[in-house]
Amino acid sequence: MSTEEEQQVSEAQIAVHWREEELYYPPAKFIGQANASDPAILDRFSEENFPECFKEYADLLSWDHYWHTTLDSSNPPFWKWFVGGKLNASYNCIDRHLEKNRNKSAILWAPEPENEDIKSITYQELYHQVNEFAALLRDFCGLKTGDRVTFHMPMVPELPVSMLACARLGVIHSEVFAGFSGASCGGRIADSGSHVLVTMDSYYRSGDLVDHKVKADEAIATAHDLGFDIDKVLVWRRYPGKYGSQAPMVEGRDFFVDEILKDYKGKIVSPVSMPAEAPLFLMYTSGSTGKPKGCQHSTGGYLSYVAGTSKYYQDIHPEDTYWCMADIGWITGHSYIVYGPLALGTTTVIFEGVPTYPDAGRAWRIAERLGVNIFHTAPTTIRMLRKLGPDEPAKYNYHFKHMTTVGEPIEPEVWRWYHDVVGKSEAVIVDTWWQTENGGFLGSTLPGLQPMKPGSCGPGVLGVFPVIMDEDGNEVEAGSGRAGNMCIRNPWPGILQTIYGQPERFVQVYYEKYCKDRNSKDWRDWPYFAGDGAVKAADGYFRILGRVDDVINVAGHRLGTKELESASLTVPEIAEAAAVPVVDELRGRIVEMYVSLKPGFQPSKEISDKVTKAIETEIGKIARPKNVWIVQDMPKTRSGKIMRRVIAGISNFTDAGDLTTLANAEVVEGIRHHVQSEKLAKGDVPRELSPSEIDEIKAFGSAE
Amino acid sequence: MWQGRHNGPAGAGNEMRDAIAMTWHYIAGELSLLLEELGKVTEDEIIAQQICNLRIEAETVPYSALPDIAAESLALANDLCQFSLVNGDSLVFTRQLTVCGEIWRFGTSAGLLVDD
Repeated sequence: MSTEEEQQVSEAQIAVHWREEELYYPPAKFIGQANASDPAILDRFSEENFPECFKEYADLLSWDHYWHTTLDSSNPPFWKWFVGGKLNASYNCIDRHLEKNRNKSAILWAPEPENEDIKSITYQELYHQVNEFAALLRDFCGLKTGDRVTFHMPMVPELPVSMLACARLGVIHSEVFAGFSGASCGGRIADSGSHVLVTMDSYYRSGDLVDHKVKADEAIATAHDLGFDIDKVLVWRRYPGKYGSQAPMVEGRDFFVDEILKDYKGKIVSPVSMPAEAPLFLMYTSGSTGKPKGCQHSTGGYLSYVAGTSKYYQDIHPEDTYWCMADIGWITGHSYIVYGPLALGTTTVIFEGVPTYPDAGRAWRIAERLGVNIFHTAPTTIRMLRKLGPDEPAKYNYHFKHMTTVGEPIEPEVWRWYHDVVGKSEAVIVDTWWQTENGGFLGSTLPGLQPMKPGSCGPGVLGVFPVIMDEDGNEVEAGSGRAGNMCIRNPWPGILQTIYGQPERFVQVYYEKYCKDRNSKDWRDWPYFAGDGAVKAADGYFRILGRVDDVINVAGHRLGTKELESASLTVPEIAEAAAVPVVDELRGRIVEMYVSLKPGFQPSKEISDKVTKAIETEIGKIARPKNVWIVQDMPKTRSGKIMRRVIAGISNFTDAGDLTTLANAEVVEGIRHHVQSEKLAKGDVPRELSPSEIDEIKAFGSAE
Repeated sequence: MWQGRHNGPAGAGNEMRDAIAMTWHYIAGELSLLLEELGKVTEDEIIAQQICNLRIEAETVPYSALPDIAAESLALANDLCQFSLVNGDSLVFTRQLTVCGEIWRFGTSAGLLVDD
């Protein structure tokens, strides 16, 4: 086989083990009602119409002042969208719907206990609740435009009420997932500089009324240790008038919201007209340094983007009942439970509990009871529901027209269960790829226009132009079968504005890698580095492979360690396998495999050959390992994690690094002797490594 | 034994790699919650502190560490179950086993754990 043929075969197979799947076409019934059913929309959002194409998203909103510049790229990569425009997010999500839909449900809240009633909050009622709480924040807490407020709230309607009240005032909210500890909340309070914490006394999870207020005290103590003090803690009560926590209320600091709100009954707060680029919220996400980073999202660009993608990709119509079964504490919940659906005037469902309690039919009972017709969840949840109740959906009389899967690649077999069983083969699926930093979807099929392909998220969404780049910044062609780094060539309105308080880190993390000219004011020179590996098929669909450093780069071919190890494990004698890179003059890196055997088997050349053969068959000759080392045991941590950096160090004749975390450090010397003596005998010793190569080997596996 | 499945998200040790899919944000939170539940069924103070430390890790360290934290959580839950079983404390054992099962179920569904 020639090298060229070898590459064509291997790279496509390396990408993932999933074969190219058949296409599924949306049913005519769906297409007939879809918001995007005219292919002309693809032309309107073509690259030649960028950035003005996003006027179509912005026009879904009500603006106090129209913008004069759609995209200001004068200070890259700090993009400004809809410059000169003014609007209020709360007004767009509530007030403007009142004229025609004041008595329509904005929020349907399903408490976890099934004996508690569903709570419906109309747009009119939401308007009053938001205004009254905004008045409280302004007058009781003294908050003003630009201040930050931290929420530590569970999945209750008071959370979107609090978010929209802040948005009404131009106050920046920062919600911390309720399940997180008080200490984590405290860290985020300090980082954001919030003086007010909004929390809840208790909430239901898996049948228990969880004491939540106790975490507020922990949060405040942590923030204090970090040099930051909270002035006021506002405590919503799960049952107004009845305190459900054991934590004492601190006089002068802690206040029950239901008691203070009485003073603000009927108050109306004029929505503050905010510049489009004013921050709307912060969303903290863990970084690699251990200090979470606050992704700052804008008002005009973000709201336009989530409204547009909700309309065209979620296919939300005002008359739909839409349920995103995520937590509002994550970006998915902000974008696709609160801001997107409410901006479009639809009914959004919020569920307090977990979908598997008290049984795996709970989610489908809610869907049936509320007449949900658009459903949105993550592959992890889909896998859990499939595992616990594969036949449950058929027991309930609901009918989805549309389903979303979000945030991680979904295996085709799981996708098919979602389609056939959950969706009853009636619903379209959009498999969406995006990140906390992105505000909204970046990769997805347009459900009425583009067929679905299990395991692939689809092409870039409207107005977003992804590209796969190799390590040198060259574009990897569609259909080449080669994997690379997922990047976005252009800015889009939903992208984070910065990392709160850390603009240098923002530039470094997302733009430094592929920036062509740091002095350039042209957005084309500033591709966004997403950090995910991906392959682009000939049809333009992207298949997301996972994080970019789970690979070994052999002669420009990115070999997934998962694929190499999975292939090795197809050999019946193999118990464990680990792939490591070895520096090589010709190919950059080559692969070496370490395997251990199941009990009863003895090391032999035959087994080594079987491993090599399995890798060649499953992946391709390009992935053939230089050596297969059969070892008695792998160096591991107590939790069973194979320490790949240790064996990578042995293969490269470099320092294996710190061994104190190993549960079986005694095996290292035996492996070193075995491997290095054999390599020395064969004259198979790598040249002296450069400092950067040593760093790479030391870091190998740290991603895992 | 259970083993962390180390083909999940990466990102450790390099600022350039820490753009994070929002699903991992969700998974970290759920894991933290399960650790909180595990802490509630732990009477041993030393183990309770270990669980507390793991929880802080789940919430703050890079997402790439989650498989290891999940595996560690399950190992601790397993130890707790074994201890209760040896002591004939069936009530506590049952509660611990429930949490243990939840960690396993969530961990495998989220791709954090493999059961070998």
